Amino acid sequence: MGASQPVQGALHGVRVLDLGHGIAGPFAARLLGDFGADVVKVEKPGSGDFGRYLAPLKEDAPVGEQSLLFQYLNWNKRSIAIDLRAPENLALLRSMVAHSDIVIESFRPGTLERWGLGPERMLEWNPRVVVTSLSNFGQTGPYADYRASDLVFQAMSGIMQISGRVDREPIKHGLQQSLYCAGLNAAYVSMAMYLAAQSDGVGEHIDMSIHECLASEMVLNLPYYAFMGAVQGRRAVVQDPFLGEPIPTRKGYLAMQSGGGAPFETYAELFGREEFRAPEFLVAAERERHADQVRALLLECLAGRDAKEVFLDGAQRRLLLGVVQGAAELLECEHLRAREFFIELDHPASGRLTFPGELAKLSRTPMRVQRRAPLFDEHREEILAQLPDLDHSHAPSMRAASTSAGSLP
Amino acid sequence: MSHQDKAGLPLAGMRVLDLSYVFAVPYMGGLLSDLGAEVIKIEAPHRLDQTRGRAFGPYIDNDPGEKGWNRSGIFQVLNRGKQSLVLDLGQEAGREVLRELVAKSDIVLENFTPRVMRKWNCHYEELCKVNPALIMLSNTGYGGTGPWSAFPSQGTTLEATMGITQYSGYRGDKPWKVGQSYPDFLACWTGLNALFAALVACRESGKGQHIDLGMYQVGAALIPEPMLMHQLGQPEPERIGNEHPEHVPDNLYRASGVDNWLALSVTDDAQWASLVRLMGRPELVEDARFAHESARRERRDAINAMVAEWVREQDAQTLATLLQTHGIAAGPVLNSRDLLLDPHLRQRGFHELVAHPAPIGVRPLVGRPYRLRNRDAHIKKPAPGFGADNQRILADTLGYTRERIDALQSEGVIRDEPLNPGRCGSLDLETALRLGTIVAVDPDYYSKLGLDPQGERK
Repeated sequence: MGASQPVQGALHGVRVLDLGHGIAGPFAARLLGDFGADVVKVEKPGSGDFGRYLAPLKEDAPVGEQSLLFQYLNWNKRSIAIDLRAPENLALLRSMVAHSDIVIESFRPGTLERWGLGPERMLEWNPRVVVTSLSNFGQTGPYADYRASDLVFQAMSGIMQISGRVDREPIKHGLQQSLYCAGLNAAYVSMAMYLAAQSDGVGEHIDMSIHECLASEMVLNLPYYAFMGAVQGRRAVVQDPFLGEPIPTRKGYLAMQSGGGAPFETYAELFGREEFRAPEFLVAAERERHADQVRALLLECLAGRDAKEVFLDGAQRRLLLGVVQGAAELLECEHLRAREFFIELDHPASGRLTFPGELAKLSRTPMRVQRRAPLFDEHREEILAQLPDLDHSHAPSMRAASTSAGSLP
Repeated sequence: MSHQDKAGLPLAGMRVLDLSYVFAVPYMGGLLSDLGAEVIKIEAPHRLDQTRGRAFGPYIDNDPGEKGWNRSGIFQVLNRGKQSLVLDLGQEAGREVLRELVAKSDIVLENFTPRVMRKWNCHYEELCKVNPALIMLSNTGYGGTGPWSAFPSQGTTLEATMGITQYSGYRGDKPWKVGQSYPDFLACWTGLNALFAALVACRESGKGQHIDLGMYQVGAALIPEPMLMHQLGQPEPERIGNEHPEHVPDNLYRASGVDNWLALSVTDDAQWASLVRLMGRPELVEDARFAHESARRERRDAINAMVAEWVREQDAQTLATLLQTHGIAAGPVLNSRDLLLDPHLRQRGFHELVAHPAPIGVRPLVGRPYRLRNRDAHIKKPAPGFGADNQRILADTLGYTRERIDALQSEGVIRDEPLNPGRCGSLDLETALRLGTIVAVDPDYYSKLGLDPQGERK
């Protein structure tokens, strides 16, 4: 991700108001910032975004500035603390919405409406604005008020039904994948509707459901029911080892998949074993039938080799291979380094850290990190000063309403 | 606001050429069509999109019938709304057609390995000479640059390499891949981000650009937690199945019936108090061994056993509803039948009913994860038959004469049937049922879905 190119981002001049908190909403707003939008993050007075308390934490930093995950989710933003519940702040918020192109919010459905700040109101204030509401199950329907977690999303999306082994419990993706998936969706639909609003002057309210983002991954599975009434289950207890399941090596795990650019016999060359040319290895159905035998041979071939080395060797022979990598391997990966994927960023709370950076390379308007994540309420003065039609007599009372969660020089 | 009064879709009037295969990019194209674009799927005569058959299906009632390549369910959902032009880009005459279409298009999508488009002289630097406003997205496993750029890849193996598999799996077990082709979805959504950003930029400047989308790094960007822990010197996160590193209980529990599971997440002490009252164990509210999350983390096994026993004889859906009314996140593991019949998704119109030509008829397809107030995003039409729009595109879009089209047809530059279709296989249901990879086949699924043979929802 470019650090100092003079070119402007794709969304240069687009103004985004980030009322989100946690992971999904802030990640969506950050992506818009990475594309060059000017993102103002509004935080709750006192404690700020609860994302400021999400692990991993740098525990010797001031409270409220410890979360490294917060830094990742909130670079390219400026921060101001405003109490959205306080009626005396409505004029300020009206001015901020009037000067925004996109608003992203992730409160529980009905919350903003109760505060007189619902999407309908925002569209009255600014008929061209795009308001993106990101919620657990959407703004409407019987589950609209349901609580959720990453586990509940993955369970109710259908993904867990097809994951894991038939004789064990269903299993979810590790970490917090559902929230990043939702952030990716919210960001692209926000840009799509901004594009439309620029064309016809009509704003939009996007009602995005995190649950439905995950359920969209079932496009490859729901047709089995819709076309033939079949309900898919989990993975068979014994299956062809060439279906991508990680296989242990001397060091690390290797994933192998048949198909791809090279004939299956290439495995005979990779492992120096002629058995891989035998009929019970060449055809998937035969491998399935002889799965134990195939697995035993693979384990033998891999016992003296490291997964990464086999991956590189096989991939150069055009075999479809993967190597199970964790943080340490990814941070050192020669390919990611060559792609300039990582960015180094200084932050007063944590010093310099390496973060995953660029998602895709845009040739003319690259994604960029122009500023580190903000300290709580760091940009209050400059944000207020940039609102031309604001009655500035409101400002002092707001300052009183926002006591800092933790202060840094 | 009535249907006709709705504002325009963002891609109305735009044309997309989709040269891609399989999942990630075809799905991107389908979603662009939902947002108003005219999407032309350009297919090779000799290389059938895998989702048209062979390894993928499914076919109506498990029967590929005649021309199975026009009937696969997965193909239908990924390629909805598109037109099909079957064009041999291996011939110069085919590439000439492509260049003429590029001149009249806004976006090109492709996922060949990096050398292919270059070999055809159809890489971005060449195509943008024809159309300087062109936005071209190239999706590959590892991106167009770097030492691994020529490596072959598919979602299954990439999922391991990109990092998420390391952190997924049963407690104490080896790494596990989860879901189906997860990296394809991440690439699809990331590609849509890049495309819309590029469209906004093009609107300002009139200039297009090239998007180099490498799937590997997209996955690596979505596991920041362990990368940051590593730099703090903290231990690598363990594989902990469905549990949460901090919250207890936050796990999956077996409910009554054959294969029913309840997910339940208690994220604070007040929810714990609500839970134990519902469990008929109010004495635990004040019990110092469990009252605070830090204490519960020390007693995961005991708490899991206690909750498991309580859930075991109850109905997952009923219990989920009860827990939700008490402010506790909970939900059953839903299967594809449950999802298609789910009252919430039905009310929100998540699945769209699409009328396909016979013999497919009306089928529910996954729509989009969002609703709009002022615009009407929708599946415009079913996926195209192989080469279904050859004539119309050449005659109407490019203005070719009858003679020119006939010449292209006789030279095999355009075709209406695949050269190497392979065998569209049906699923071995008996084996799948025995192994448990298919858990049920409902002969009455059509009426369960509320569809009648004439194709209307009852």
